[in-house]
Amino acid sequence: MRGPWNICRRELSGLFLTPLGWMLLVVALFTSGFLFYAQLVDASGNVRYALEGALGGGPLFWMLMITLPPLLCMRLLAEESRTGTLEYLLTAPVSDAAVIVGKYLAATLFMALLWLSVPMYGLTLHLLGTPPDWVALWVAYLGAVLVSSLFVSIGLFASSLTQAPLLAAFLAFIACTLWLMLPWVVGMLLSQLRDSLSRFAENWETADAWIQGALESMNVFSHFGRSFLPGILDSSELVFFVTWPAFFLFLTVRSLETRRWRI
Amino acid sequence: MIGSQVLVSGLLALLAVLLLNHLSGRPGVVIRKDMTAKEVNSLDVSTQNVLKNLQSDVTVDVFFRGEQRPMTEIVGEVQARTQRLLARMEGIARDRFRIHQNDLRDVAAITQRTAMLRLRGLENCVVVHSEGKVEVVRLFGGLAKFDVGNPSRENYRPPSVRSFDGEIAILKAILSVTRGARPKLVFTTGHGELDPYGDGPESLGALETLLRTDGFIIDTWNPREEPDWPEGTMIMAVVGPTDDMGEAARSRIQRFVDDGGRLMVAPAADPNQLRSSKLAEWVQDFGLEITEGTVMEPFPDPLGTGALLTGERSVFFPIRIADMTRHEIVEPFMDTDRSFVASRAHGVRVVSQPEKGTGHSMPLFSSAGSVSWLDTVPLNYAHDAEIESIRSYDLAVVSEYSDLTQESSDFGAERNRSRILLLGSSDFLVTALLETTGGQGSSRDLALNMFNWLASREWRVNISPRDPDLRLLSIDKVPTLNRVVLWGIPGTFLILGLLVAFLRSRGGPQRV
Repeated sequence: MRGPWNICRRELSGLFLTPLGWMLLVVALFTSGFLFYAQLVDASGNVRYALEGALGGGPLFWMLMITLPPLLCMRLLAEESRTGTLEYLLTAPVSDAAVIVGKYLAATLFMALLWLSVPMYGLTLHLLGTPPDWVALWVAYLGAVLVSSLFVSIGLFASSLTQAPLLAAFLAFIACTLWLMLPWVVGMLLSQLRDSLSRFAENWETADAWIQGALESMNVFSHFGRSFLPGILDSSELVFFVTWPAFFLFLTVRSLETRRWRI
Repeated sequence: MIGSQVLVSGLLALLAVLLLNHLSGRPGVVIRKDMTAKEVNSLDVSTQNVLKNLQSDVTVDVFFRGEQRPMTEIVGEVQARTQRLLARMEGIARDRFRIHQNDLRDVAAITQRTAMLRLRGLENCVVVHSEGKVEVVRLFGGLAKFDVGNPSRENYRPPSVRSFDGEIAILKAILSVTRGARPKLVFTTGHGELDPYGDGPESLGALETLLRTDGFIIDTWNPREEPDWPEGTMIMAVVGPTDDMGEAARSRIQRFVDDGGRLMVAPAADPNQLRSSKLAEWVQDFGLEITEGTVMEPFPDPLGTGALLTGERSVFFPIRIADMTRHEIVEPFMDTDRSFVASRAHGVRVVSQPEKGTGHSMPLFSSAGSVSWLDTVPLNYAHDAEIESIRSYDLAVVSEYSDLTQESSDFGAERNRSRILLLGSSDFLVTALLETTGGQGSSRDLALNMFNWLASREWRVNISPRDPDLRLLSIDKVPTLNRVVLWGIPGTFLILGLLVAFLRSRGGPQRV
């Protein structure tokens, strides 16, 4: 257990001793704060609406979600690989899995720190005499951290595939965007083609329903929006947000192993 | 070789993830906990029961569009909350419940859909339909009640949601489109009973409307004029008679009940009328008892009538959760921690368990044990310590039994279990009490639950609108919030970042 934790500490120190981490934090906090403030004014002071907007209900949350993890992860493996420090790390007395888990924890904690701004907004509201629904807010915060962990794991996997940090960030950005948009894009495509396809295939409706169901099961918006965001803890959603990052971490470890074999 | 190993292990891991996700989403496996303070995301137990027991497919068409300012946000919130509610309903009812989202910008699709539903002007509403039956639930007034606020600068008040009624409105629409055979309820007449078609405060007019809307067929029967009760009668209600029905009528009703019929007995509140109706003697045949006196509690009159008060002594008082017995009729009140008002009532009591067949009798709710007393006749509305003991008095009892000697029943297998509900008085059912605005319509809910239980429709129970749990920040505090959120928090991190950069440039903390 000490291995991943040591790696995590090393990565967090790296993030906070370089300008990149601070710049990302300040920009993200400012935009998130602006959005929260705008939504609160727009909603005539409705606290729940504004907090939900800042934590998953607004487009900015998702934009940060698909841009920040790739930017954070590009340096975790790809840059280390380019500068050659990854080889030192991989020959250190820690397993590959510990290295990956440590880096994953560091990036996820960074994202958790970023989203901590929303409970801070909640605290400000509390001090101003309008306490939010605290338990529901922390559940939504937990959900935001879990969504972040999913995109971090995707970013980490992309980072393990190449030695070029920018290419890694780009790959991760595309993968995260695709994951987010795929259900919507395919759904739209299917609705356009529904008439034509139903003429060709007799059981098209069954296939259509199956595809819709499969896409829905991958829909991060739905998984987050129907459970954590409104303040619900759901075991199936927890399984979703634990198993998929675990899967990408597994792929990342395998990807590192193949690199070792290639060496 | 190595590549294929990686591929195979990756595929196996993917399969494991898909399998785990599939299994974790199976009904019965999912554990779900609503963590919000007022459980705004949870469906009432009764709603869940209805959804789990749907007998036909229900589709909900959603026709939502944005509203103009200043209603934009609050309407948006109600719409979002309704969508979440529908998704939750779909999750519980599974295959029996479908949601069809309609994009109001897609004119061709909307035209087609509205033609199919045979409706027009569908905007900001949900349409619940099943097997040709259609119910429209409007957003304004149906899904939620709004306060449009006050736009004037001097007395500015933002628009707000007064209550979110989505759950009950959609539930009622579902019940309406899925209701099967309508139970027939017959009120006895001719012995001074309260009038089910009257419009005065002491009539049963509001109850009749309420029950008719809920799918009951209402009829009347005068045993003196017609020997047999109307065909297809499922429930008979004897409410507030002032005269004796006579032995013949009573034995006919007794036969009706023994044969699996359902009976509601509610004596007149006036002790003299109770005596002249001889209801107290009659219910003894069912092992039940009605006392002549009236149960009282030292509480102010919640109706504000003042007519029957002496000082603080009241014949109208709230029934506490602790004084309810867990039974289908009052369970929704207990689960939602709601009270309802007891009307002036005689004490009632289970004297003996049913002798015929198998069954049981039990109290439904009672007065508070520590404060209530039974005011003896002649009523003086004061506590006479010598003869009136302070204790709990039952105000309603239920009895249920089936006569095993009966080979068959007029009502079929589903309805051959006799049910009797004895209320402390007919005042529980009168228009004056049902139309009381206090208690969020709990008297109406109680009446509906009682008759639905008699009709074996335990799942058709009523619930109150939920608290919208709105938390609004006062407008005058927004500038402070602006300073903290927009400048304070990012500014703190900016200063921290600059400090770290400065320390590093001076040879401070190094990368580990």
